Amino acid sequence: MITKLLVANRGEIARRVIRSAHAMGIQCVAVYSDADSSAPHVREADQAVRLPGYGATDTYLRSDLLVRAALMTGADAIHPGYGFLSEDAQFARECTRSGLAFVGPPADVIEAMGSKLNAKAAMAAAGVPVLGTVELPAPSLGAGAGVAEVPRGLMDEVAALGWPVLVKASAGGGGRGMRVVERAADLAAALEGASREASSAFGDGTVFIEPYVLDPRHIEVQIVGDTHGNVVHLFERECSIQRRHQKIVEECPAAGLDSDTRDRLTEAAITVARTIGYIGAGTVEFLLAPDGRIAFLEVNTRLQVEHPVTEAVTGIDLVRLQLLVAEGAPLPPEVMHPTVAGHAIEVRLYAEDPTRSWQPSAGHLDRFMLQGSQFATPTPGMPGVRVDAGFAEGTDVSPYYDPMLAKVISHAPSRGEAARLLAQALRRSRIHGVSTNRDLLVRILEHPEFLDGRIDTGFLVRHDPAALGAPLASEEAELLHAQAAALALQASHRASAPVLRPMPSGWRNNPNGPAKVSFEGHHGAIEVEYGFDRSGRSNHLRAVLSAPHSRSATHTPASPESLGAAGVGEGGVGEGGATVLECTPDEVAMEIGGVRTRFEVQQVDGVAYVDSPLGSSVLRVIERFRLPESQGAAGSLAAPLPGTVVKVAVDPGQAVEAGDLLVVIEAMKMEHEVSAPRSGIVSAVRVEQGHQVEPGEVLVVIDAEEGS
Amino acid sequence: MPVLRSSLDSASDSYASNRSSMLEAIEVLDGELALARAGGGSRYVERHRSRSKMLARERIELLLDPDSPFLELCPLAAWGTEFNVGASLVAGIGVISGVECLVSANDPTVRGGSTNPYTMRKSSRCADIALENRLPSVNLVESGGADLPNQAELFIPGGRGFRDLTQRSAAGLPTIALVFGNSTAGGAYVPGMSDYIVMIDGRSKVFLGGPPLVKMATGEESGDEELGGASMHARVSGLADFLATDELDAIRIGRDIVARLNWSKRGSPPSMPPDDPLYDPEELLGIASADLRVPFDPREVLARVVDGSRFDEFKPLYGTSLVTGWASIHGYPIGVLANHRGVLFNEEANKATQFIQLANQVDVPLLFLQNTTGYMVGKEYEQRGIIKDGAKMINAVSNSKVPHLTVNIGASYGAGNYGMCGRAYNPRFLFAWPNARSAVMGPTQLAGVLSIVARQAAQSRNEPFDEEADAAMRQAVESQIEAESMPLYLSARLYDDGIIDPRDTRHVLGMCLSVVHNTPIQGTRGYGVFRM
Repeated sequence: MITKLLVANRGEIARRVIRSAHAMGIQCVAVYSDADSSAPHVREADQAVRLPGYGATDTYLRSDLLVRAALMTGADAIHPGYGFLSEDAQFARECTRSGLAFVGPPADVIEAMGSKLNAKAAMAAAGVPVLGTVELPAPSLGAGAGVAEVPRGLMDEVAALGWPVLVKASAGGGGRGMRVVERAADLAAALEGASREASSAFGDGTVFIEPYVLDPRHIEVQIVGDTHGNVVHLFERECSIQRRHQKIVEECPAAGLDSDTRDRLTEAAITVARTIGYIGAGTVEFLLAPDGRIAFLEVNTRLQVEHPVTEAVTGIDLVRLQLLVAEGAPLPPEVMHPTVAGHAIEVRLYAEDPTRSWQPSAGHLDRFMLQGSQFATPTPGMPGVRVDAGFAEGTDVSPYYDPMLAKVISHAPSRGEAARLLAQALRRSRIHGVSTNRDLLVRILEHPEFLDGRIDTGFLVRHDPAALGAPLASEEAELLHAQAAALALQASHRASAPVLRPMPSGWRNNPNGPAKVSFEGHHGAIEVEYGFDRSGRSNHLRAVLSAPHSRSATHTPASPESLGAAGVGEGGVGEGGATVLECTPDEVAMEIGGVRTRFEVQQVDGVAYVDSPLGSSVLRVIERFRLPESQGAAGSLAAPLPGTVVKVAVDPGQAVEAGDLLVVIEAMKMEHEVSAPRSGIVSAVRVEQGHQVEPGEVLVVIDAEEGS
Repeated sequence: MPVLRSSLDSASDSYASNRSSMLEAIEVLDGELALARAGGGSRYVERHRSRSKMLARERIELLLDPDSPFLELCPLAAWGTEFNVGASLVAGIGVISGVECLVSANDPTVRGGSTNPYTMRKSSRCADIALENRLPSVNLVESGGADLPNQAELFIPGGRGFRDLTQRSAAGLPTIALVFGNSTAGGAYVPGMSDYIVMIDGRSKVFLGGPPLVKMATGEESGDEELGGASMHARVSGLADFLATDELDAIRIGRDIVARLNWSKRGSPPSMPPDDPLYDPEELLGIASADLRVPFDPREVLARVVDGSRFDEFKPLYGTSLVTGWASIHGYPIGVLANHRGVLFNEEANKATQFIQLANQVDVPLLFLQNTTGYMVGKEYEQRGIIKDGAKMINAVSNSKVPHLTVNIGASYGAGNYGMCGRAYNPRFLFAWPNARSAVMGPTQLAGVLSIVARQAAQSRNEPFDEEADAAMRQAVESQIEAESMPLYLSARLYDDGIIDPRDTRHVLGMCLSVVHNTPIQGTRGYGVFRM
């Protein structure tokens, strides 16, 4: 029996494991890096051990420190969660050697499946359908080897697979170290990049190449085996909606899957599990081609991120099951004969900007409110929403780890109901301080193709993520939000005035026109005019998009008159105008066209976050005054996000063309390329490889070429 | 604390006629204020803007804290004179970086912002307000200096402006000059005498003599940048403490200077709940009588001005022509003296004297609501010593040291104007409602007195009295006095600090009370000898 469990992970999965362990009466020990010292999983554990440092390699990937922490605290088992060391056979061995139960399959199984290459070969031998593979000769193009030529023989083999091909890391998962290559010329660079990313993320830079099947569905089967020879599957999960090979919407059961296909998948999964003698919870991933063929991809020898959808429809606690198996117990009867009730959908809420190539967003969570029961599968048979979050309001999203903020899972009798419920829960969420993919997820869940079950991994290629990820708040809604922000801002000015607080806002004995404030919003710069009469009632309110952003391609210039007609113009007077009913620093209520609408406003450091039924807006106050120093030198290229410089591709004095690679920054385990916006001469390089950079920090300065 | 019960009938005819006549007067006032805001008129405003310059009021708006109030002072100075209404200067009290400041800005659209005799009186009044109320001052300078054709009225008294600046500095009241354009000749001393000077690169020009004058005086050839450009003053002469890149930057620097003044108010903070009156201030329009001869109850005014309509009346049964009592506005406690039925009798004078002493004993500011025709005349009152009693009241008002605020809400005639703290008695602030009148006596009475005197003179000389000529004289005098008792006429001459919409009374007084609390509030412990 396990009495004390060390949870060798962070974020939501650490909290998830702690929750089930506590429910079973098992004490929990958390570990934390210096970036996570105030993270929720640390507070929820019974004890916690510090892992000095910030980056994963110094902390959560240090198997020696983790084993020592377990021994030091008297833990008798280690749960690895997912990611980090969850699929590290060496770590599993170290645990076992130190007398600790490793919650996961035996080290040999992890090892066998850890190499996707080996796994494919073994499964092909067992009769499971697989895709063709090109292995790279050892030593492969490793990290730091630079872009070398691809040997001719290798290139021929790859060409035989047919373009495009997919370069994949043999270790790990989660889309890291993966590259789609369309043509031979790009192969070398893709191999180098994938290898470096894989090496950084998994400590193993081995990559291989397989055909890239266009627009397949990604379907996986949950398997579980015990030490008594029992192996069962807990149905499939559909994970086809992906961005950059990373799943973002998952569901159980798969949409509109015919029973023949389902049987082929589950039978193949059981074959896989039996072939390798699988023990514990695992996942067999398959590719389902548009023509109905299935192909084995890999086995994930751990708990999956998306496990809650399986829990929702089967009513089985998979973490509890893992712990039971680790204790040597046989699978309980309900697991031997599982049933499916209703439909569950999970979305992964990321701190990222889908409109800017999924750029991760680090920052302080000024507000983090998600509706739903925490980590708990909602009452079986009743529609409900579950939230698995690793963050809490007031904590930081650091650039060191995966930017997933939370998983939100809905469970309802039908798929349509589950989608509607989840979309609404997301619409009601309040997340301030980082960019998120929330609005993108809502648009996917409400998309007719999604609702029809017409989904595959090409969904976010067919549908522009920049459009799906644009704020739900329309231009008109943003103008209303700007009005609310202006009113809330003035309310807080008045509430915090050190003198003359009882005076009406902006009072003048000789009136001098309305007050004005400008915001930078998604759609552009917005100027808001407002005024109050001597009794403090709003008597003027108007918002105009003064400088539309060119990036909103759908923008049609709206004249102030047309906005007025739409109810955004003059407030308090005239038909269709907005009447201000309530106005405080954090809430504004307006009646617009006879409808009372409530706007929640949070003001943080010159930014107003506005949430309403019309959507959410982030409105940066355009300050009246700007320090002359705050304007950077022309031609400076600043870091787009905090991270580490992993490559500097230019030297001072070098001539560059527009689009040339300058610097590669690694943040949140993704590589971000900074390219030259135009041609010119590099006049300064301010960073070198290994530098930590802050957002806005100048990386490279490019002088425009003479005569250009 | 007792709460006032209004018995105002807003459905009555008198309410309706009072209201319509007040609204008429407010319309006239608003028209004049609009003229003041228009500055030098559209042609000069356009020309100013075409030089990418901001208007005086725009500069002030940016200087003030967002959404904070601004009490413009003497906006109608020079009304009805040969000079533009407003006297080419915008002045008032506003909040900069959380500090109540006296702000003034030359209006360069009015004859280049030059100073005329009314400008001088307005800026002197502002200097007094800054000094009496301990306010830092910020001058937004852009002026061509003295209006030369009027130099005779300006040159000698005008020197006071510079003396005022340095004396305020000596009194611990920082003076800040933001120079937006020319500030030359005598005008150069406005920044010159200030504690902090901000100049704008390429815009500010500060010199004693421009290139033509220098050429005339010494024959030297020079350019205006080298004589007085901002960059030169910031780098060479050291006259400029800060060099701003543009107008906005100058205003930002000005705000930062105020933020670093380490300013704290010396008076106590508000001590009472600042809740709104129970009655709608809108109804103030219908209270003051359209006909000055009809008295009205000042409690109806107080019920729409003071916090929560709370009024603790003192001596309610004695000397009932004058209402005295305690209240608060925006949380600041005040003692109120308000005329009720116009005339001040012996009892009223004595009651006022006692009440003023009580306020001084406990350091509470006083509010005078004037609506008086003066002290009572007649055998009975003279024999009962109305002069002695009036003298006691004037003694008390004169020597009282708590801040006084005065509002003329109706009539302010005769020595009543003195006893009720008229301009000569240095209230910290004095405002008038648009319906108010002030003179030595009413026009009819004054004309009548003149007529009686003339008739007596004719009689004593045994000459026939020309009734027709007398009637014409009475008419002429009446209309002259009527015109001279008008608030616009008085405001033009700086005899008040502005004419206010009655509905703004609470906020004007609340703001003034906050401003006077920049000084410690301490009543006098001594008076002149009371004549008993």
